Amino acid sequence: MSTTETIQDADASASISHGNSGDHQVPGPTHSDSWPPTEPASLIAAQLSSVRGRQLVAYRLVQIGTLLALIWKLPFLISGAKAYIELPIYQDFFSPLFSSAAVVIGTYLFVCIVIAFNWYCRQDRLRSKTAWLPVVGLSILCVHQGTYNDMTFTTAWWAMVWSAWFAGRIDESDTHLIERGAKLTRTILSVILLGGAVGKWTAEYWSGQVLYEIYFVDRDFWIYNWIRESFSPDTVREIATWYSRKVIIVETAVGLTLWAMPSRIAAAVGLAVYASIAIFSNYYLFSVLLSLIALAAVGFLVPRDAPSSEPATEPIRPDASPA
Amino acid sequence: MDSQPSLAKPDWLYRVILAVLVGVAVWLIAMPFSPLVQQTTLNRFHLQTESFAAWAIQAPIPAMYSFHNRYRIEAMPWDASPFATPRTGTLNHFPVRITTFATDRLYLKQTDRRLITLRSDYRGRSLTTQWIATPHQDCGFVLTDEVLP
Repeated sequence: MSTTETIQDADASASISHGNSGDHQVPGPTHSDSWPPTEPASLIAAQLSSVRGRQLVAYRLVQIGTLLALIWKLPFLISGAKAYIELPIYQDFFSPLFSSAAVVIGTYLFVCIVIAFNWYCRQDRLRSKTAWLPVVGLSILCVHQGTYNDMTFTTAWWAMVWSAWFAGRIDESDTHLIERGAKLTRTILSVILLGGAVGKWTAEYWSGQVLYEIYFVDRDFWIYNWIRESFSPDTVREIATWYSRKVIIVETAVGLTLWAMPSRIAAAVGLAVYASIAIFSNYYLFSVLLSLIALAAVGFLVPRDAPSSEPATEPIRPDASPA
Repeated sequence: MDSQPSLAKPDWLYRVILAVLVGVAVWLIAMPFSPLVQQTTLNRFHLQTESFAAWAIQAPIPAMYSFHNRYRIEAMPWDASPFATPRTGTLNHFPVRITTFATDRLYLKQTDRRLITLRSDYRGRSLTTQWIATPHQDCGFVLTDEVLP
């Protein structure tokens, strides 16, 4: 590992491009009278001015998004934890390990703490190893009796798989990493949307019956309350039909195409679609979607004057600087 | 020797993750047409997969708001009041969660909510399972299930 890789803090990340001895020539940060930066905005600008700084912003964005997703409905999860302790449920399908209240609570806390640590961590080598720990923890939560059905952990799992891959490659000399990272996030977001769309390719969803029963009948949420108060029951039922068809069409169209869109357009589309799902369905869904929103935002970090996308389709992992 | 030092190597992890994503996408797109995929996913939703490992490996496959999942909750026949009527409703996904997830499981303490029938439908294929909650000797409940025809 070169000495540049051991320089970890945000300020240093902007200055290491001067010390980069690899073959890749990268522009250095703009030093001004305000250097070193003290304002948050100038700190972020300084980070974005270097390849590695931009990579770190992307990585930390996904960590904070996923952490927020996991703690978004904390009061509900605390109530759930109390229920798991008070009323264990014994099923042949789940072994004691995967139905234990201690396991689900301990693993959840462990995952949150490690993600917070990874967000803060300034050592590349350490981060590249600890980035795998949330994947392990979330793998347990994805198959635990108490959490397997909560898509919060499925989307967080994908975000942490991306993070584990990305963390091991943060390097000033890899000018294409952010493009490959954005491409991978687009593909993850596409597949997750497609998963929701395919399950709705049914007559019951196309008619609106399923979402009518779940949301429009009695769900206490601003848009459904407003629709019930403003329209007759027959009209509400008809609105449910068109709402459901809109969901199916958007999830299908975006799920099939997002992966192929240019980075910044995909980021904007992904943000809009995922945020709208929660805003127009259920605020609790932000626990599922914040990690995906953060993944989508990575696309905004691809430089406008990014080099040809060819290397992003032929991933090359740079070795350490040649001796 | 005139050999050049290797400066770069393929990013295999990147390729593996992309391959898994492509595999998941193919699986999903096959769902409307493949009885195998449909039945496998119905079994996944109702915890009827043959082994826990085969069920667990499907965890990365996203399944938000999928299928028409309905439930009916009622008392066991010997607890039933003549005035009690079953509660029915619709669930977004993984319908068995109505007996296990978070505070939902607390409803099992009520004697009129211990017989749960779940049905999922997808493009003409369906799966119905019945779940019985029996008090455990220490605390909590034992949950047993069977597939209904």
